[in-house]
Amino acid sequence: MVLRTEAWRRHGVIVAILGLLCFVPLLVHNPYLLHLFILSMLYAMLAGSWNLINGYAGIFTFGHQAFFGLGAYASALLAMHAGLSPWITLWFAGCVAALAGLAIGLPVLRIRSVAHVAIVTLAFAVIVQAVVANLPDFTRGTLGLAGIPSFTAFALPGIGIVSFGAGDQVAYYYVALVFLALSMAFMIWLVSGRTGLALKAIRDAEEAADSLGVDPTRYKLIAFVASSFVAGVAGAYYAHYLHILTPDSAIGVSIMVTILVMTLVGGIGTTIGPLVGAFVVTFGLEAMRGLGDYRLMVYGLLLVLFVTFAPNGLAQLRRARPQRHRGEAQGPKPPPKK
Amino acid sequence: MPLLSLERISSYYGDARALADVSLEVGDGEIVAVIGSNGAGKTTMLRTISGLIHPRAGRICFEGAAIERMQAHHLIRRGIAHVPEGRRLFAQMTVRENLLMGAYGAPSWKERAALIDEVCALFPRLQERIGQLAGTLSGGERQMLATARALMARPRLLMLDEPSLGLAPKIVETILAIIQDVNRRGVAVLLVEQNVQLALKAAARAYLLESGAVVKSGMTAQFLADETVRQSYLGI
Amino acid sequence: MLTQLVIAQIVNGIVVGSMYALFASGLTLIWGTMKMLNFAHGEFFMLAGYLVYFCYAVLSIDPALATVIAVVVVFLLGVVVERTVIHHLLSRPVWQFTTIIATLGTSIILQNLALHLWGPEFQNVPYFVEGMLNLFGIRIAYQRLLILGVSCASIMALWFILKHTRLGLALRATAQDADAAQLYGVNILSIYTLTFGLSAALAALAAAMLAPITAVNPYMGLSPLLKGFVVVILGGLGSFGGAIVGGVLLGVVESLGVLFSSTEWSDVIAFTFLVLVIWIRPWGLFGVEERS
Repeated sequence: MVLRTEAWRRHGVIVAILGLLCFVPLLVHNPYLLHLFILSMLYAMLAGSWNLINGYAGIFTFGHQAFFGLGAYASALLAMHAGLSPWITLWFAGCVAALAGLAIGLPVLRIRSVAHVAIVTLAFAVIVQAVVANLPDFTRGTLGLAGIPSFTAFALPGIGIVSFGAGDQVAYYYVALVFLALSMAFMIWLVSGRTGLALKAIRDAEEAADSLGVDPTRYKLIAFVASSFVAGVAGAYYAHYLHILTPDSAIGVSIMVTILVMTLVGGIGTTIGPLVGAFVVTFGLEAMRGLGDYRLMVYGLLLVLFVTFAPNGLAQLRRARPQRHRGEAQGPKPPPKK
Repeated sequence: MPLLSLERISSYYGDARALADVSLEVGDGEIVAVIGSNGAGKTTMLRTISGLIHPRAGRICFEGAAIERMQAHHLIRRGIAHVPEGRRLFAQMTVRENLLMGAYGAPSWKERAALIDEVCALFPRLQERIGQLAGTLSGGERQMLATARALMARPRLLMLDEPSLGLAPKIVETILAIIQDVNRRGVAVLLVEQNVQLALKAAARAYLLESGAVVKSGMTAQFLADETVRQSYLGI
Repeated sequence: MLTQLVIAQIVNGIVVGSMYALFASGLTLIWGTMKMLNFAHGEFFMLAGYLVYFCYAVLSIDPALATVIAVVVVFLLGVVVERTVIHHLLSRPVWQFTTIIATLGTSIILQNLALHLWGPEFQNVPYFVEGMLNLFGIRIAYQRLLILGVSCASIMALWFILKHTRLGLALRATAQDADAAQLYGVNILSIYTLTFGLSAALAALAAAMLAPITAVNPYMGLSPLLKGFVVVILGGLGSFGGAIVGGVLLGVVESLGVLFSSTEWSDVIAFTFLVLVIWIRPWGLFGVEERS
């Protein structure tokens, strides 16, 4: 399909970045820096999955952290109680998150108002967090679920046994990279094909798309489920990487804020945006460690500044500056009478 | 000097040009019609005059003063009242409150009350429905209310955007009567209409707008005589 | 004994609920006129709480004056925030989303500023009036009666402004049709600024009343914000009356819920209730149905 080859060309930068990431552990040996890289890749996956529904389908959700957290806890608990290998529970976790995506997607998609969607999805995430925190027998609640097993070792021809013990950060790195690459490929595939076109059409002019036979609900639901699946898998990886989970670290609102900052900084609605944003924000904030308490304020400031001056994120720098429409209606536009 | 004059006005919606070099005049106490099909730019023109859109080029003069850069909420005080397309009543307000909004700029509540009495004398039907929610009125009553609301501001120029839209022919006749009545009281009228027959019956002069440009202007008699107008717009 | 307990809890619920109502009416006011969600509403609440703490608990200024100071300062803060952060976003595309982000960012900045300046500890504010009223065996603190009185008075004042003043007319007109409002002389940009300030003032008033009961800390705005959203959606976005009813309802449900289960679950119950209501009736109990 013509669209797909063009897409691969346009995504050359992404391929290049992923390629470069392959070489990082050869040059960087500091375990803390490697940890930052891993976190960045994880967030790139998470932000990328959020971007799928928001940037592409135009549905602005504020509860994406719920899918991340559900995936994390599902995989952890399944591995701990059923004795299954994390390699298997990870995919289950994705499915659990995807089911949750379906459950929350169905009512949300019927709502047209941005405000309603924002509040409902936020409420959903708060509910999930509260439920997880209030079932200490099951999840250890706010005390934290510790002792989550690592990925099981396996043998690779030519390299030998790849284990995931305490000192095996490089192994974790490459697994994260593989997952990042897979998730990006998945999302690019989705966005470049019919679903992506449909989503863009729906985002830009829903009634027109509807009249052309594009069923908006079906495509939005596909995007929702795909997005939550990826988020769940990212969460599962997080669980088996850190080996400990708390409701706040896995389902807290701060995760959503981080996703927002990263996607805004990188560029909403572009595939490369969340990827670039994740790295820029993670390393940028690390570089500002000297600021101490002010770090979180910087988060807030970034949100305000970017949404005001660079709503298309860093991706905007490559394009021409947005035109100022002098002939436009002045003052706030009243909302469309829908 | 004409009451209102547009000199080579160009307006844009984003990058799309909606009005191209439009020039137009309305004299004191005149009724001028602007006709043209959907998307010709008639509504854009009115919105440009009333300040909801700022033109990218050209001048608009009202009573000798340049108004193209003024903000919309200042223009009603200068004497331009705009009854927008679709009436745009405040549906969840009562008839009385809608009228009060028309007199928003009036100096006192006493003045507003007096204006309501005045306007209701012109539109007794509205007096009957004074406490009802505007959203519950019939089509014809809504047009009456929209026009009355505009009159509450004691305008020098009344701009009507497609007042006959969605109304039965009998009601359209009432609209025509109202327009003429208002005009007799010294208010100039700029009438934008898709209903060409109504427009040419009411107005003395007319402009034909096509794709954002004025393609014909003159006395209504000339319009009625013009072959192309008759065929395209009057279906004769 | 149980009946008395239940009644006492209902009364408590109404009292706290009336504050939720005040807080939520601020949110719904902004939504009604500007069609946006203000995620920084909780921080206006929080900052007012700190102002009352400093004025009354620390500087021993008369509590009524302390309340006035808090309300006025936060009103001005609201005006400043609207002019600097919100204003230019409103005329740009996707403003429904960008305003959420901008107010969220502002909220984070304010919250962490408070954290940095005053630390995470809870600060206690003494009751404005001491003592209890004993009515048919039910004891109600005078402070709570004060809260009820203030909220009733403010809600009536608001209602009066909206229905019987020129400003109220302009506010309602802007909410219903901003274009038409402009055409008839309303400076909607000023209205937006005023609305924002007024909304912040309402949050401030609620904070001043609640501070002695709930104690002041940088995170005190989070829970009311979430609950505020619940109330506003329940009552119907944009419906002032809905916010009032919704607020009181939430207060009562919460208070009764505390009797029968723990406080942690009461949040979950409230939010699940919200999601269910939205599912069945997206426009809330009193909202205007969106013609889709």
